[in-house]
Amino acid sequence: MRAHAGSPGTALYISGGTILVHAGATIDTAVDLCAIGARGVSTEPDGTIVIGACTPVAELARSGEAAVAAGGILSRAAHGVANHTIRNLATVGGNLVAWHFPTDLPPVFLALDAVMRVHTSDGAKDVTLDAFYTRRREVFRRGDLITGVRVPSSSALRGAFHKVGRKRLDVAIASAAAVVNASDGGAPDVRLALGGLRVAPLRARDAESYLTENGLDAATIRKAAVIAVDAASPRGDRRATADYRRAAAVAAAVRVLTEAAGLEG
Amino acid sequence: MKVTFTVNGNTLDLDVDPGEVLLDTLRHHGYMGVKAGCRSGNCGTCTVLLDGKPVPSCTLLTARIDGRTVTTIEGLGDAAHPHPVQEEFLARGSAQCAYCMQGMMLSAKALLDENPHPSEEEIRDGLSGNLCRCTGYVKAVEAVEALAAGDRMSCEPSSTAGAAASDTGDVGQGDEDNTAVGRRVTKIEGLGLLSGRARYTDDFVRPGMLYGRIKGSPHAHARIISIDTSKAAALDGVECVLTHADVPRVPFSTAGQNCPEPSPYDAVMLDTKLRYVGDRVAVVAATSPELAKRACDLIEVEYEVLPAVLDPADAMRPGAPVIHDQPDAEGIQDASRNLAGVVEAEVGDVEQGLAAADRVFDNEYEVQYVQGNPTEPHITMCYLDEKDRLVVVTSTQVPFHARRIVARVNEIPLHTVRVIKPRIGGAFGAKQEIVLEDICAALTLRTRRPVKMRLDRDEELAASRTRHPQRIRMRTGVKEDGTLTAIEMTTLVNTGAYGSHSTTVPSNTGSKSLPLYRAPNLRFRADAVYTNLPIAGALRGYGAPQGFFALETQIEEIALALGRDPIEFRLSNAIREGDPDPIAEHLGEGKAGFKRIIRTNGLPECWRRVSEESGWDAWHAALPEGQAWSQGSKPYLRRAMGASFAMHGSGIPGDDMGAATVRANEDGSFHLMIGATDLGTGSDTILSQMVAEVLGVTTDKVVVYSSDTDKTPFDVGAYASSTTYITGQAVIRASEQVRDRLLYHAARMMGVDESELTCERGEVRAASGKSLPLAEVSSEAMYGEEKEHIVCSASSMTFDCPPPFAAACADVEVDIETGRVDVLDFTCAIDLGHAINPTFSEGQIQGGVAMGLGYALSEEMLFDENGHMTNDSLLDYRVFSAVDTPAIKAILVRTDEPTGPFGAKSVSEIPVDVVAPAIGNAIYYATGVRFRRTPFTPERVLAGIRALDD
Repeated sequence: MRAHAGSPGTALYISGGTILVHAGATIDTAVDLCAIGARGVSTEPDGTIVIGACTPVAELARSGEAAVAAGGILSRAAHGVANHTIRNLATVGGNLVAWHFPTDLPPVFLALDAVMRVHTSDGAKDVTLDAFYTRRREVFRRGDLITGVRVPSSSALRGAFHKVGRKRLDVAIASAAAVVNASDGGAPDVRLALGGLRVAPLRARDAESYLTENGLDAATIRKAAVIAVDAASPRGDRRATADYRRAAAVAAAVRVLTEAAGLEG
Repeated sequence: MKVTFTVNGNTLDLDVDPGEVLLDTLRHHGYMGVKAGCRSGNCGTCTVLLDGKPVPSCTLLTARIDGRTVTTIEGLGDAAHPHPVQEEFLARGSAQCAYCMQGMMLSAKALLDENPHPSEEEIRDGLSGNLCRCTGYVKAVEAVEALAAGDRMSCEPSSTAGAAASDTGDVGQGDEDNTAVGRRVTKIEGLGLLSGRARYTDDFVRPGMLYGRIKGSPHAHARIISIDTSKAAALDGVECVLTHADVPRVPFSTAGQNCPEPSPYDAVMLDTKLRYVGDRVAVVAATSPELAKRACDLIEVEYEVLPAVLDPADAMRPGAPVIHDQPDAEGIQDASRNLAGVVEAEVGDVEQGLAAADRVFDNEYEVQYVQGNPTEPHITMCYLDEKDRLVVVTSTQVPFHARRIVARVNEIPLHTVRVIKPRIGGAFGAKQEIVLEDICAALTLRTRRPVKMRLDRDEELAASRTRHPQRIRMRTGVKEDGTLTAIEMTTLVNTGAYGSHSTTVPSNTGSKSLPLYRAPNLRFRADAVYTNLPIAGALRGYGAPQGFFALETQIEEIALALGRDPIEFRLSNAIREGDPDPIAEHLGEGKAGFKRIIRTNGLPECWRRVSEESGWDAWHAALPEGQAWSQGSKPYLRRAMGASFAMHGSGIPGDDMGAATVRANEDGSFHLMIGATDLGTGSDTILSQMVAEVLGVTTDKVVVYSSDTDKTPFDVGAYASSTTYITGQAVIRASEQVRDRLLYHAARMMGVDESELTCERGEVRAASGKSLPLAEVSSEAMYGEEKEHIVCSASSMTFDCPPPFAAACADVEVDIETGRVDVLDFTCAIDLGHAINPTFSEGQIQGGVAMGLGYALSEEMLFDENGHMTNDSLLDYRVFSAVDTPAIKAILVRTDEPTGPFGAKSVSEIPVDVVAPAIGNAIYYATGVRFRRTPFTPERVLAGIRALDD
């Protein structure tokens, strides 16, 4: 594999291949990442969910683990990916690194504080999703391979995911994932991630701190959503103007926070 | 790379290129049931099962499936051993063109294997990757539901049509004793259509076949200064490169219309000037599609880039770039102003009518560029037969027009051309057009080799044909009592780079919509204007959806402004039986029309049924006082209902002609030969039902052969909702002549007078009660004393054009924070006269509504400032999938049209007309915002809501 990774230009890593193949790449040598295995979803004794990078999105959607983690936000997001045929080919790892359009799983993994397992020439290492999306060049080198994702889980987590698209199954114009730790009565532990606004998904740290300080109610949630979206400064493209994307993201953020906070029946 | 896998139980042991996709591998090895639709994983026509799971074979590298198991549609079952999914899809009429269904049935099987009792939502999700343009998914979802519930419909051949019909208890009133007409006969193609055996153009492969490709213009407006094809021609495997210097320059219209052709002759096969992005620069034939693509890239062109004009209003301004400045164009209204054509008509005096009104409503409406987007893109294969005649196998609606045009522009005699339309994967108007046939023929004539050309999906989207965008101004005068005094419709029509259908589509915008409400004074004017954007042409509805969006939105606005109930207001003003349609005489198909009287009108009954089925009254009664919407399941969701009406036509009066030949075989069966073109609608079956009914047999006794210019009589083709109404009359007449000859021979055999005899239930029966099997009579005719092969032909044309009528209700939910509109329900009733095949008629309504939903809500071709389409993939050109489409309710309202075959009128286009206005009206009630522009995208709807709040 190292030899392939070092060879010039023509070798391509293929995971699900659903994006790469139709992007018109001329393929002389393909390295099938899924040949390494790294497929399946399981739970470790401490509750951590381990997802192989080559797990098809459909398999994640169907898995019992995804259905229970933080109110099932992983399966909800996975069910909304592309369409039923693509989901059988597209992999979780591919969904995390796709760059042609915003995908649905990254904000959910971000909100769940997930960690990627990365195979490097110096051995395996862990990279947080947050680090991957904010400092990719630093933490992920050419030739590195994502082999899996580890999702810390606890029954105290409540989560919600919402995607705004032009139609039901669509590339996200904006998406939001929220996770609230409801284990103790103290300051709420709130995590909010947004997708679709820029090329990379992001954690809304300012909004999270605002909510930790001010608590969760209809007014603070709306304020937090605006803080989060302002910080992200959404871009405009052929799918939506920046203005619309902003409105869609605020709506999505309000909805997931409201639901994760248990403020709505 | 070595790879071994099994397909349908057979082991394939192959050495493949690393970049080869499974779709190509499978088709190369004869699994032709796997169809190419978009080659990007977005349409699902190429779906196969990989270890039992549906996947798009176009994005799957063959090299990766070593050791895996593949199932294609051929492996699901065949006619001898069908899978229950195939039987159920046939019995319920789930498939129309069936191009998408090969994949969809595999998805259905996989879904039921994994989840034997799926909910409707799970079924729709399980079919979400299989886009269908014909059916609206309704009958496919019903089939899966039935399979899950064990509620199977018996899948009998059409001979026992009664069995299928009695299952649903839904034989048309008065049709109980019919052998065929009014019955839910299944498609005569049978299970072959649903097991990968039907042959579409792409499935025709000939030895030595080349692959043609068009080099498209990168500029919206440019002149070719020079072309250097030497590098392309030098590539090994490139057999031919043609530029404007290599082909005859014969001005023509690419529109496939009847002679004399009404559209301007403003195109030539290859020109020195390019008028939109994608326009033909040159064309190449090579031994593989990849090589043809590389050759196109190697053609070096020096362009003089000209200023482009993208807006029709700008195009008419003085000083605008002139798009058609070639001296040899014919039939352009005013090329110097980019005016392709003008259509004008007036009844009464509109100014006087407006002056006499108490109120005048003056509004502007705008409709966008959309695509027919059939799942099978445009595709043509040409070859020279053993007599050196040019054979054109092509996905066309108009084989006879194609023959005439291909011969003329290639300067060869018409009789040396044979056009065959095989099975077709959807058309919708986009294939009433010469998009590839002329140039593919030129490549074959030059190389003397078979050549296949097929548009890629991005070319299909950006460089085939579209619906005409229009800006429509409506001025309507009304008295306080609600009487309409005048309607004026003025429209600015963008016909794109060429004037295909440039006057006929606009004239239908007025002629279809303006008669719906009684007004003594009517005026219509359309200016069809060239721009440097894709070519507008025919598309299901043909101008009428544009007109009805304007009319049915404004009528609602007027009713509300007058404080009237919009439904009651519509019904009180609507045209009635016995009324003349005054505009018909003045507004024909690009010329004067013919007088029209409304003989049948089921509009009030259509509305009664729609209101009943949609729960209109109960829902309204439950609303809080003063509120037009009800609360959805979330605080930000509002539900509302909206309605609209429409009328349409049945064929083109005085213009359309269809002919039929019926032959009697000696075993009591018949051959029907028709030039008519079944696009998946089921017209071959419907016409066979008419033969069967006249001759008193069941449809399994009728063999149909259609759409081959060498072997079938002339027909204008499938457009203008004409086949049942126009060709059907010819079929009946030819069948009656055959019947008369059979009765003549029977009378001779039985020693009675012909007048005492009838054909019934496979026999000739005499008034006395004596009878003879039909087979004996036809055998005697052929082999007996007089030796006659009974072959009768008839053609049909008419000056009548009875309108079907429609009423519809959209039940929508609007997300007032994101602007997204979901359609919860759509109910549409159509007075189509007498439904020859109720199943197919429902399918036409469901599919037409589904296409209308995309037009109303999600489909829109977008362009950058240089005229490049920015959403030229199915990822961003959003057509409705199974999850977006509601369970469309189709209601057939029967009238007996005296001029129609067995009382039939048309049904195929009118459903598109009602959708956008009904949804727009519903959105108005949900939000209080009147949207006068389609599509109602989330972004536009939210902007409207916010503007109202400000």
